[in-house]
Amino acid sequence: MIQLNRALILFICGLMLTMRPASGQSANKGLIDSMLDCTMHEEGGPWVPEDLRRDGLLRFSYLYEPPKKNPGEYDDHDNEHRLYVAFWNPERSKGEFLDFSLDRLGSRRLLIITNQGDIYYTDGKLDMDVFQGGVWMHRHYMIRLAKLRATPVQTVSVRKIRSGLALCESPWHWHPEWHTRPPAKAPTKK
Amino acid sequence: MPRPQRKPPKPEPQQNNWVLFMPIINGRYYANPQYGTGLERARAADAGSSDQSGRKSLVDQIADWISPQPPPPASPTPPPAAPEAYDDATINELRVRQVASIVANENHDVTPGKSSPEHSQNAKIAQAHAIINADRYFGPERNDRVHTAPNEVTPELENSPQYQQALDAARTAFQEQLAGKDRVQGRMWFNHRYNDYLGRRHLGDEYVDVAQHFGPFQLGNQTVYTAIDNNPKNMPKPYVKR
Repeated sequence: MIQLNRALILFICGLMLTMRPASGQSANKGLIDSMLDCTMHEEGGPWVPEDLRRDGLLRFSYLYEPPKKNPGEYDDHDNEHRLYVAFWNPERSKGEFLDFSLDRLGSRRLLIITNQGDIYYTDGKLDMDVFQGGVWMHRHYMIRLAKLRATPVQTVSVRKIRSGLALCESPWHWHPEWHTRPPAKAPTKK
Repeated sequence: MPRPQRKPPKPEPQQNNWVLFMPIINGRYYANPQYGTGLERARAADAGSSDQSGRKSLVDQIADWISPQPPPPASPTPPPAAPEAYDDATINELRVRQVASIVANENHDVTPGKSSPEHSQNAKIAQAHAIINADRYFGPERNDRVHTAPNEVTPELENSPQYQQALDAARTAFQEQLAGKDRVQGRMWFNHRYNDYLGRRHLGDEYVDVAQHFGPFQLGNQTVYTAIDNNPKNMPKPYVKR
């Protein structure tokens, strides 16, 4: 009887370890499909330049980050779930960076493209021009970009990317009626 | 040889003596005693007819009109506000101090380099204006539309001269906006450039030009410029509180 219990416990532990999300790439397939949908079909897009998808393929790596309890100096403090994605050229020497903020509207996913960057190499070093933000934003993204560079690339055919999977927004195209956020709390005095 | 006679000193103006010899009627000086007497009699007679509400009698009004009036007391001007007076003022969702924190984070370790400290400070003021504009326009949605650094800083940064400069920039921008002055004219998006390319950049399928740029500044051994971008051709909708 004791041996049976032990075996059961071991089996459950093994199952839990197997189901543990793998490193940063823990976003599920539905989310990735939604991300690809918004990248190609959002009103202000497509968000991947043509020269990166001439052969009809998108090569990308992604990094999902849930909100952190104790955010570090170069972490966002806004309690948002985020998805960072790099779309690469075949040589992986150039790319497009997108920062998605993730939300839900009822049962539907809402993906907001909050920033964009051009990835390139300069003097053999990976770098990025960020559309919006200064030093903090650049450092924040460079930390993520190093992880994205080290992550295996996934490939998808542009023709196979489905549309209408998610609600999509970007800085210049948004729907105020989708947002009913409570007013911000008054800051606590230090 | 006789010494030349010095000119006799000019006589003192006689004004004081003239005032001394002016007749006083009912406590007032009059150059013409007859006119003074008449006016004072009329004033006394008129006093009875003036109402009790403090309104001036007709004679008083004429006398006031004839004699020069002292200038009205200047309206009290408020004393200049202390620099920290606006730090907790709310713009829309952000407070002035939080704008300062964003500016401090986004300009962390940037030094004037070859540019003047004033030019460097103007770059920070322009960024503070852009952040204030974004807060006014997008409210709680600002960080998803005009993404910036957090509005909190580390204790090390908060106790640095860099933070003080950012705080001065936020205070200046806020006070200028209160007075109706906006150095970036409603623009909200800004970035730093780590090379001297100050041309247009794209966001999605739209290219935007740089409206203002500042620099070169120094970040370690890198040259850095600050660019304030134009707003898009079709402005997104503003946030409306419901």
